[in-house]
Amino acid sequence: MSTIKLETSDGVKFTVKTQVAKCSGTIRTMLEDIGINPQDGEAIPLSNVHSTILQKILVWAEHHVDDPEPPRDDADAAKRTDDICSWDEDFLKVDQRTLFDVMLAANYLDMKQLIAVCCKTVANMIKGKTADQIRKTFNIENDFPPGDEDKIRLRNQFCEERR
Amino acid sequence: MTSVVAQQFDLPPELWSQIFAHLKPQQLLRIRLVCHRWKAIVDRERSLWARLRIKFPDEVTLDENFRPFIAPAADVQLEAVRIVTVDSWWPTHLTCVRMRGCQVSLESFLGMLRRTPNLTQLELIYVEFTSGGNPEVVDFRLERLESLELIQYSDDLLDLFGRLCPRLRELSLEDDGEHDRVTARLIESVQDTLQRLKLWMTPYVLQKMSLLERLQLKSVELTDLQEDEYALSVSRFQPSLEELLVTIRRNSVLCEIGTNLPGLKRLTVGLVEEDGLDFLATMPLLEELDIGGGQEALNFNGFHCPNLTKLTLDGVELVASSLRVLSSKLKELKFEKCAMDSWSDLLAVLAAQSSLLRLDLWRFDVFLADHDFLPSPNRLPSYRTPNPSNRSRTSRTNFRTASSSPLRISTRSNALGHRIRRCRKPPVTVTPSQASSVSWVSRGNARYTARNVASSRFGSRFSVRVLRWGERVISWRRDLLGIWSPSRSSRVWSRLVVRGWMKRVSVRSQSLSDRSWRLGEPFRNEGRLACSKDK
Repeated sequence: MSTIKLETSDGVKFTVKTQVAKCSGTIRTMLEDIGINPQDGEAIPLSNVHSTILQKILVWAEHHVDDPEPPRDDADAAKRTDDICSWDEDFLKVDQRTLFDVMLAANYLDMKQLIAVCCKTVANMIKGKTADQIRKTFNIENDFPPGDEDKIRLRNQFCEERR
Repeated sequence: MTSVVAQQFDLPPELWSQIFAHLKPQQLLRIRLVCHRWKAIVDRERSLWARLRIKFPDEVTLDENFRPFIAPAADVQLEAVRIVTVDSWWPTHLTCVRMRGCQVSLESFLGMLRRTPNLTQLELIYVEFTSGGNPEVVDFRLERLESLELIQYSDDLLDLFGRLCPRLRELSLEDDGEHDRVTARLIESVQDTLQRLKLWMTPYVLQKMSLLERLQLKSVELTDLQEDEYALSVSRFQPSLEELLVTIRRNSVLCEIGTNLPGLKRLTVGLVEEDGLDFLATMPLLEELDIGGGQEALNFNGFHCPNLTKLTLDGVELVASSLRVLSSKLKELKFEKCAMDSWSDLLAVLAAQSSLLRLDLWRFDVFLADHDFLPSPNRLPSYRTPNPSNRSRTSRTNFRTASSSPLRISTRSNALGHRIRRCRKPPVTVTPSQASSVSWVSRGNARYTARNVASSRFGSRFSVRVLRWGERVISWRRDLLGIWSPSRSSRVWSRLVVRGWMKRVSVRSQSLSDRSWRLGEPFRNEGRLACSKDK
């Protein structure tokens, strides 16, 4: 089993199975298209990813390495948020900062499945909350001038779900 | 190099919009209230706001005093609205406008259309135009309009659309009057793009259509009670048809149509005569079949449609076992007002259909009351359709991770409960393992206790639970699919309640994990649903 080395932003080097590393679209492209040769023993620099986060992501990749490609045709399925598998659910039971960091790193590493499951998790955090509660959850400042919020609310009046 | 991850405690807009894509429109509206940045993300992302629809309140009058604030949306619905004039508020990025029972002057109407150049779909159903006439000059065209549906219209209006929409792909016309000439003219003007057509055929239109050389229809729907001859003619001069919706009764006619249309994929027919289903042999590519009635029990024995994925039967008596040979690729099965011998027959069919995703039973009837079909937790998963590609994953974790689409069952049958004998088996209580909702309405002073809750999980998105309740059977899934009740014989269960995603929790809400729960109080109004929701 071939392995490659990855180096994180804080200089920590990881030795990873190639197959696991290829969960990342970015690394896959590097290896396959650009032709970086992993046998050279030189580590691939991941300047946007911290070691603690990479470690976490590698755990995820290790677990999901054999996953089949997700079906693409089911547009409805993509919108569901209640189909997160329990392993992922536990995996993402982390503080918000770590969750966001994992998402950013996954985004950088181009790991679509991981991003999708993170997005679902965050969407679940938003669901059923009022604007105020959302702000509190994500620590967002209400930057609307007083009164503006009501105006927008008024605009929402005739909206409904499209069938 | 500084780490972006460590410094910034937020996500880039593209990730936020990916997150928002999972939210329901109502929640999206709330997202717009959170902060400037989030509002901008929603408003900028077309795929997000395109899911919103604006529905004006019924019977409102749109005139110069009406100045609504409108959120971005792609779709507007006007119902029983009187339109005097629309002002600058009329959204310009609309792709779909539906008007039903509205009153509008032609001038305002044209003004509205002029401002929506991206319109792709337009429905005018019973729209009354207060000022008539056919304007000589129309200085714009709806180049992107693809779908037009008109119910009750005038010659002038049809003529107008002939000039407005050069690239129609779908046309649906319904009217009592005679519009032969204009209809033929409209079809001729869009013959290059037209693919789907629904109308009341007349000899004149038929004759004109047969002369159009560039017309290549994919789908034709002839509205009720038209003669077989029309459909036959259409099949002769439109050999490229893939879909046909008709009410033909004669098998011989269908056979000839099948021969004329080698590429037919979807067929909807009315009553099928006794002499059977021979036409199926002439349609090897058939993917969807809808049969709306039959005189004898429908028997598919001897017929094989290798590509059939969707079968809808309405008002027929069925030899269920014959379905097993018909096709092995069925994804959707829908039975409306159908009858077959026994439940075991149906289950045998289901078990044989390894790709079945959806099952609809509506007023389903069986002749033999074999209530033993009720799935026990052990038996149920065998009806789940294993998808080889997901197996490895399934076995490693659990059913919840299976990404295959689950079998969806929906049923609204009175007959089922009616046919099932009293359950005499010793009660076994199984605690439902996961969130679910159940809703029921009880009537009278009866008290009921849940005797037997069997639950099993089909897959990540679906779980079926069957609850035996004396002789009543309730089955539900997360968003409650239905109650089978013997309402014909007993007044105890009054009606069927099917709600969407159960959010409403009533006064008498109890947790399912209570194992047993009671419905005691007399039922007074329908609003008092007892439901139970986990959490």
